[in-house]
Amino acid sequence: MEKEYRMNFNIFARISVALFVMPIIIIGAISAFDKDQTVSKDENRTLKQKPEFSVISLVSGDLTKDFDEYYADTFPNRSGFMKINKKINAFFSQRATGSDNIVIINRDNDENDFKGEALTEK
Amino acid sequence: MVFSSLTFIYIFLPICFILYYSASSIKMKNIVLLSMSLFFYAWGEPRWIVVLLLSSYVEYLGGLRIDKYKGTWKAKASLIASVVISLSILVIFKYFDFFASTVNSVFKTDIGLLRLGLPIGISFYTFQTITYSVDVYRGRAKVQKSFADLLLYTCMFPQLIAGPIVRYVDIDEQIRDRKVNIKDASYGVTRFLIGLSKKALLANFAGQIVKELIAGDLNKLSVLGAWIGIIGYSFQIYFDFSGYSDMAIGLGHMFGFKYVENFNYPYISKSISEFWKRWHISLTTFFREYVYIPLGGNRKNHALNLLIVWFLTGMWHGASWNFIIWGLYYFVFIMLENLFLRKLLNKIPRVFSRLYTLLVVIVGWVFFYFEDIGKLKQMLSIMFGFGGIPFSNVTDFAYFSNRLFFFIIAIIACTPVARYVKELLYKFSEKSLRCESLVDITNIIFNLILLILCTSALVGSSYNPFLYFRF
Repeated sequence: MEKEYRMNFNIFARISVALFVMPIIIIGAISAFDKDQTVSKDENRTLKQKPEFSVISLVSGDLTKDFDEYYADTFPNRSGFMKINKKINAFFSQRATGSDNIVIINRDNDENDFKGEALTEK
Repeated sequence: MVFSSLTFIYIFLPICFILYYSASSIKMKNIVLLSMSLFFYAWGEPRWIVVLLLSSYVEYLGGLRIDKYKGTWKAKASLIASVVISLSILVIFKYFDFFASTVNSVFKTDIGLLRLGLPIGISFYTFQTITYSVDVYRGRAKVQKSFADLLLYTCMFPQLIAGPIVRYVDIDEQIRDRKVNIKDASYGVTRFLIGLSKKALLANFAGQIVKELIAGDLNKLSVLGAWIGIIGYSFQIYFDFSGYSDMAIGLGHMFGFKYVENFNYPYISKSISEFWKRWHISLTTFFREYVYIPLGGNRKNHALNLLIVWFLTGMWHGASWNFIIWGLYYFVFIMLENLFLRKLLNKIPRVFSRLYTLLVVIVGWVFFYFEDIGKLKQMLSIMFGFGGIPFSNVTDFAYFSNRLFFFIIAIIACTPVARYVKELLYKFSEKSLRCESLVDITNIIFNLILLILCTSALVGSSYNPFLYFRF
């Protein structure tokens, strides 16, 4: 069973709690008052906008789901966090062998899979 | 609302902290927690909050009547009535359509389907409310005269949606009176962040592997690809569910509640019986205390009692035949272990008993994952190389070698290695005050890094609910 190790000193326990609570309060406050981005240049797409309230969307649960997506899309310093996330994925996906073979996999399992559209020169 | 969403971490949680710690009395703190919990539930399922309130109110009335008529047949009648009503609500929402379509296909009838949809967490909170009525009847728990306090027990947001299944007797005193000391709160923060990392960093990555390999067409899979896919799912479901439990326990500590542990490194078990003492402990405890022992336990009709428990365990996970097969699959292995296998497993080297357990559990996840019986059969035949399926192909090998790092990290995270490191650190910290400080500072830095990594993973991913939400 997981043994519940506690901090040795109250002062460090306080700092630990403060360094969790303060960032979430401060970032939460910033996210409420900062100006929303509308476009993501890195992803080349329009970001979700604040959903409009309606009783139907509230009852169906669409309003809250749309709000979650909007909040994630307009999160403060989103592009900075996205860069870290790319590094996390790259770390998990790094090649374990020294082979230079390149394999293109298309399983048709993902809607984002490459579908084979031709590239045309302008 | 899900714990692994930015809305929860950066809007809901700060507001909850501010309101909770501004409240002066335990009564006010309970009102804050109750209001926030109802809001938390309504965020994802505004329609079904009525079902949650109804189920809680039925058990509340049942508890009052059981207490009033204690020692008479009326108390037993009240218990039966409240349990039957609660289970009926569960059956209507979760199982009616399954039963109706089964009857329709077997007897060629035309029973209409309700298509109501499943209220989130209904299986968890129904079982919780049942423990309350039963324990009041057994005299283990005091009756709760305040509906608000009973509702708080049922719908407290840390454990409302995916457990652990908290028994009323374990939490009763804490609802009436509790204190948070700073070391408990700090432990809660660490535990919450560990759980969040399991979900946001490991389970979601494993989920991507599952999606890419076994969620779609299985025809292109080799034996290796099928095993990587289902091992990926074994990681996903463990990190997803145990991560949720860690977050629930951590949040509980931040608000002064001590919840039961729900996981204890299940993948290192040396038998299937041991696995079920380490996996979803609160569900196993529920079935042992409220079904298996009342049926007679191992005193009479042992095999039949086990069969009922494992049938119900399968059913609890979902209204589909694959879950029932999954439950019965474990019944077979537990019976075999009871008959002769346990003696053999105790004699052979641990590594082999662990490999046996892992093999049974991983194959078991195939039954759990595939609701389509045709695909389930196809997956099993690919995994065991039937029908001339190649062992490997260039795509599956490349896929595996590109994710080997993840698999190594996931394997380590399933074992108690981190716990041993922590034990060593705390032993080291006993040497001097400076060492104690160093360990505390390491803990703080570790938490901060996890918060940044998890936030990044959540910003970079789309909506990703927990797997156990649908149960």
